[in-house]
Amino acid sequence: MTQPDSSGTSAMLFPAALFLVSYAVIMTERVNRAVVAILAGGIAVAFGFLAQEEAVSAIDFNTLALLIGTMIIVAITKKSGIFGYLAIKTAQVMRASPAGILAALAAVTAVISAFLPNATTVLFIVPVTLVIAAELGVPAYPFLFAEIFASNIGGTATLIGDPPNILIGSAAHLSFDDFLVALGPAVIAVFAVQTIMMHLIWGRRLKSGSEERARIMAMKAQSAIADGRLVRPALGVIASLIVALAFAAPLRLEVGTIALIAAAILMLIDHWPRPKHEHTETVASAFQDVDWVTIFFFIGLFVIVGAIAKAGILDYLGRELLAFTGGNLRVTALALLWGGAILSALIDNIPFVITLIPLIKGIAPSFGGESAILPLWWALALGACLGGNGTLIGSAANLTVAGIAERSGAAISFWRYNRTAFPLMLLQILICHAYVVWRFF
Amino acid sequence: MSCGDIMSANPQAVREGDTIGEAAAKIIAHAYINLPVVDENGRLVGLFGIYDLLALLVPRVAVIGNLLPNIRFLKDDVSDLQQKYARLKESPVRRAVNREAVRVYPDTPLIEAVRLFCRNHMTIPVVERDTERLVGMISYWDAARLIAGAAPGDRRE
Repeated sequence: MTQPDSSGTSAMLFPAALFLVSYAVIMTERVNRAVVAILAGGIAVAFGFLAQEEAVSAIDFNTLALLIGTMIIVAITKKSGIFGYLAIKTAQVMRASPAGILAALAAVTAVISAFLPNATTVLFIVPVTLVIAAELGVPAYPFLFAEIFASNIGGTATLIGDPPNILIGSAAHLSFDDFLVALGPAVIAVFAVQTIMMHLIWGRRLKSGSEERARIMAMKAQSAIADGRLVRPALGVIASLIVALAFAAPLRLEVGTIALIAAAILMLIDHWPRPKHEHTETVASAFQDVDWVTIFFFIGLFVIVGAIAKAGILDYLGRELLAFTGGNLRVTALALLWGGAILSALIDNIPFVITLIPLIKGIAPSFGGESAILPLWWALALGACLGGNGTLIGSAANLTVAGIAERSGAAISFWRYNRTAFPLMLLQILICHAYVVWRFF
Repeated sequence: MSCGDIMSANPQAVREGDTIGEAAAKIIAHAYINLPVVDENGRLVGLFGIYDLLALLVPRVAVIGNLLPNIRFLKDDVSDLQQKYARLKESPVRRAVNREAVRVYPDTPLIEAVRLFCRNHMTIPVVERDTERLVGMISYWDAARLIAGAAPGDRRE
């Protein structure tokens, strides 16, 4: 294979072109994003933009392990039906009041999303929500809207809640506790305001007759449990996972290792009591539920970004960013917060977070080292995660809800969603702006 | 052997403007699995069958994909289902027609029809290749009788 010209501009030109073309194709959504990323990563290696060993080193296996581990845990937990039980119980605790259910189901979604992947959380909550809304005789849209926001807000609070946080945590060696302490208060504030807004926009107008509410109260929540045998082990493993992640540093384990151990334990509990001939099928079924498109998307992107980093493009962009912000940490953090939010609303937040991580690491010396740039990581996390609320295509959770809603006859209009969601997202970023300035500067 | 050789010509059909109640009455009276639904020109629109009818009575999210493991948690009351049916039986059948239903042409080989029976578990409408006008229906019973040696006929669907 021909080696590219090693002179400065040409050495940057080809990787930059590959990066821009592949990201542009990903944005068109004409070709599967994983295929584009893997192909572009392969081209980067084949054309010598980075060596085979460098490509492998560029892949963050800790992030991949954490994603795969949590996806396996979710795949097994969902068989229990526990999430349906939770949703029904929540509706009954609120005495079947539509406004109460709107707020409470959003809160449940946010809490679950903090500890499990957003897209899977909504996959469990939304189907039961649709049934509850139908039984109440009220439109499902406000509930779905609130749950989309709740899943993205809840996911912002923890290391494992949203892919951008997993990426940032792994690259910057930030712990589960670091995320919770730094972002938790902001997330609580944002969610509180969001709950009020949901009530003002929809909740106060949602009304249901006594007969409809009686139907909710008559639901047998216990019957939603599909496999009672799995409930305690699944909840036990999730609780242990959270505790272990919180103590990852003293345990001297990477978060990816912890997640895979937890997944293996749950798979063991799931398949061990079954007849021997079902063992392989049971485990294969859990593996099938892993979102391999996302995993390979990550792998390809890591390689592409490795190629442009090696070419010096990220150093160049880092210098440009510093010139734009005047080398001021606060201005840089706020630029990442707002820029991250807007971009995250318009395009997939994963590619640009993967790109920005080495860029931010590269400018760390200008601010006095890695410990000095913590506000940049927090600003990026808040912007990238919450920005996803802004449009219907802003995050995987949004698309998952839209897909279920459409198949269920309650389609969400792209523009109807964006009209309400984008200003609400900007309000959330404004809150985060105040928080970042107050907390970190 | 092709689908045209084993099909039942001039099958009973409903128009897309007919009510769900009218279609349901035919389905129940004749134990049909599916009824073809046609437009005013006799072109096939899709199928409406017993499973489409029953699916109208439960939350749609419960019958698509594998999103809900069960709906045992809902109040189990036949009068609720009867009320639901009463509310929707005056709606046009176009609201519930399965437009994705597979179709074949008179010259489609029998072996392909057998494959489609195995995949879809339902009777299949036969349409003219150029006009999409409904000309017949084939059922797995027709295929099985032919293959097992009995003459086509005595169709149940």
